[in-house]
Amino acid sequence: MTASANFPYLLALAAFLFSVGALGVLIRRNPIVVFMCIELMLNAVNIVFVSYGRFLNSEEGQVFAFMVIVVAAAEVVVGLALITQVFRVGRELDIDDLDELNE
Amino acid sequence: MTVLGVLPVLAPPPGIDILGLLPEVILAGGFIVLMMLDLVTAPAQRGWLAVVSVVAVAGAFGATVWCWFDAATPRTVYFGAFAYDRFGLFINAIILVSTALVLMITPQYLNRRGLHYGEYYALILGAATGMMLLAGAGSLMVIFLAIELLSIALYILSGFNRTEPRSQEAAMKYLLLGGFASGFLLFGMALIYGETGHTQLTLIAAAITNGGGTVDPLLMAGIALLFVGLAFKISAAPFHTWTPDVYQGAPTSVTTFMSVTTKVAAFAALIRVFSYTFGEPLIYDRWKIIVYFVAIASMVVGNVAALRQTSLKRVLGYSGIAQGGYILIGVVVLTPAATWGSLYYLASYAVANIGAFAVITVMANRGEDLDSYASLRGLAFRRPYVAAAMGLFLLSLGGFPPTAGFFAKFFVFAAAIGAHELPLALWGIGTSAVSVFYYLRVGLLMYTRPQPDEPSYNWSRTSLSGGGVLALTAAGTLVMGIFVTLVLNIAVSAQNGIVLHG
Amino acid sequence: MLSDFAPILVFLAVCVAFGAGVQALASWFGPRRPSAAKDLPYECGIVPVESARRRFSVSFYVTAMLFIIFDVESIFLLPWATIVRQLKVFGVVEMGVFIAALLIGLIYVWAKGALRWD
Repeated sequence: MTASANFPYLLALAAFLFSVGALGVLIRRNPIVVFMCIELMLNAVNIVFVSYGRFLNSEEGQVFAFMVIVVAAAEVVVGLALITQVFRVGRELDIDDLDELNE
Repeated sequence: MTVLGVLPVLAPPPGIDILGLLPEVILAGGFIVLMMLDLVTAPAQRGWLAVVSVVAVAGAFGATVWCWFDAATPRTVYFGAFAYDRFGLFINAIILVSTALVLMITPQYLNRRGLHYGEYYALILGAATGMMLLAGAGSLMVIFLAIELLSIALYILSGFNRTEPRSQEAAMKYLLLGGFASGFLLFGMALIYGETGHTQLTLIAAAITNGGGTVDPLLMAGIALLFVGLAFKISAAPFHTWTPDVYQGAPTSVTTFMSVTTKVAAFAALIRVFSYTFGEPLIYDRWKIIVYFVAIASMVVGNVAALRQTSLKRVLGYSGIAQGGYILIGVVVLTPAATWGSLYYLASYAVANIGAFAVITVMANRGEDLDSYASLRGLAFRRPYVAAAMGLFLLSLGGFPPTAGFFAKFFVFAAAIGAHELPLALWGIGTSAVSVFYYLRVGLLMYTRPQPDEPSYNWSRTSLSGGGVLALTAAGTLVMGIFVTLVLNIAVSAQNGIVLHG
Repeated sequence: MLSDFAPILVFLAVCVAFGAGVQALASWFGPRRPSAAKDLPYECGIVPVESARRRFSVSFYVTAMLFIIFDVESIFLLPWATIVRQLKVFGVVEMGVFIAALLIGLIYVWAKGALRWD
């Protein structure tokens, strides 16, 4: 089976994973889980990039996926540091309780 | 073989032109130097780090001016990944001037809050580097990397007050929503790449032109998702919900910085990608509807919500959303006049908004920011110059002559009317009329004599550098409003110089 | 196209059927003698001291975060390695600059004491 025959399914899989991630961001309350959902979205995009790269026979898709992986890691590092800091200043880990800035 | 004999081997292959990225390289170098200097600087000496960072920004500004003359014929460098043109350099100049002004008011504010850490300066330079890369980005990949570079630095800066829960909350909200928006941005990029086969903007434009009369639905979905990602960065409604919270919770000097520079840089990318890469009539007719709606929504939501605020930082946050809506008019309308109108608008917005936030930063005392309406009452009787400067910034944001804001609005609305988009201009004029209420309300409060029994607020004394920033921004607002052609000529030249074909 | 996946579907069905069948046979024919020792998470000896859902030292997070960032950055060596011959000396110098930037990050982390385990 060739890569191009698989292609629509790969795109559908990526769209599905992306939707799961987006939905998770909207309905989950734990910032760490929300963060994991964002990671899921980014990795769904990676699938799109790599499969398009394979489909079009161009390297740009793979290179883009590399960039996304590295940036996602950097974002995770900053995110985890912030989450631990929020925890330290004495807040519960529930983003619905982060409401001091609403008027 | 002599040492010099080795040098030709080190020469970069053709297509890589390091001079095209000189301002960014200088700033990135400053970022690394500051990080190392921070390790060896005693806490009491950290004011010098501000000096070093201002020197780095000045160096990058000098390089930008040099590049301006060098880039008379626009071209792309780094194999098309980066556009070396006057459009990007104009935006660079706005970003660098704003950064320098923010750095000048920073040390005093950080000292008062007990937050004077050296990383602050490094992160500001890192964010500014990302913004400049975004302004010149010629490929989807560079747009993504630049946005993330500036965003990650700003996430940390928003939460810079590590013991203040509101600062942490702001950073967390910004991070989670920013990551969410990045997902949409990337999905859009992936679809655009897949449907056109390229990540370089010039090649994408060529692929769309060669595509003939058909519009691929996946390409349109990609363009829409890319717009959502960028709309988040310019905080356009309905993707604006993070803005007031983050502006209020972040340290005020950081708010000053990001409220202006992020918007300027993201608008540069928006204009480059949408007005110039996706300008093909068939595509334009589709995405125009989305941008049209978002522009009107931003103007209405920003101005109406600002009416109900009682904190000056939040008012300026909502006012920034509305200003974004006005600049979006310049993106919807494809004429050259709309583009240089937007560039002029960005410059005038930068000056007035930095000034307004700088007033809050400069006046903040040890414990709090004094940005509530109650604390502004009677400011003019105790700090006449500061209140006068604030009044000038508010007049400019509201679009009154003889300030820069008047001509900015005039150019953008005139461009809309010139392109037969009268409804858009009418929405702009109507919502500007609404905005007068809250800008004037703040102005009137400052000139209302306080009741004798009211608590007296402990405004800080204005330092030399703080007063200098206020004087410079006030002068800039007036000069741009009276000698309009000074900046206008540069903006028109920037619009003319945009790279169209690799 | 979809029929290419048929063996996987059959395989899945066989797996589920086998697992369910063995479970069912065991519950029908096997003897049942419950005891406290059998309900332990680790049946074979180690008695759990406390709940596994306790707080961990924040040092674990710091170390993990630093590991992630330096680990993932090395991914750029892979595409670079495929074309380093064409880039000649310039490519080596470029990667040197990249590694130097990472090294500066490491020096910073070290000097800030983030690698100390207290």
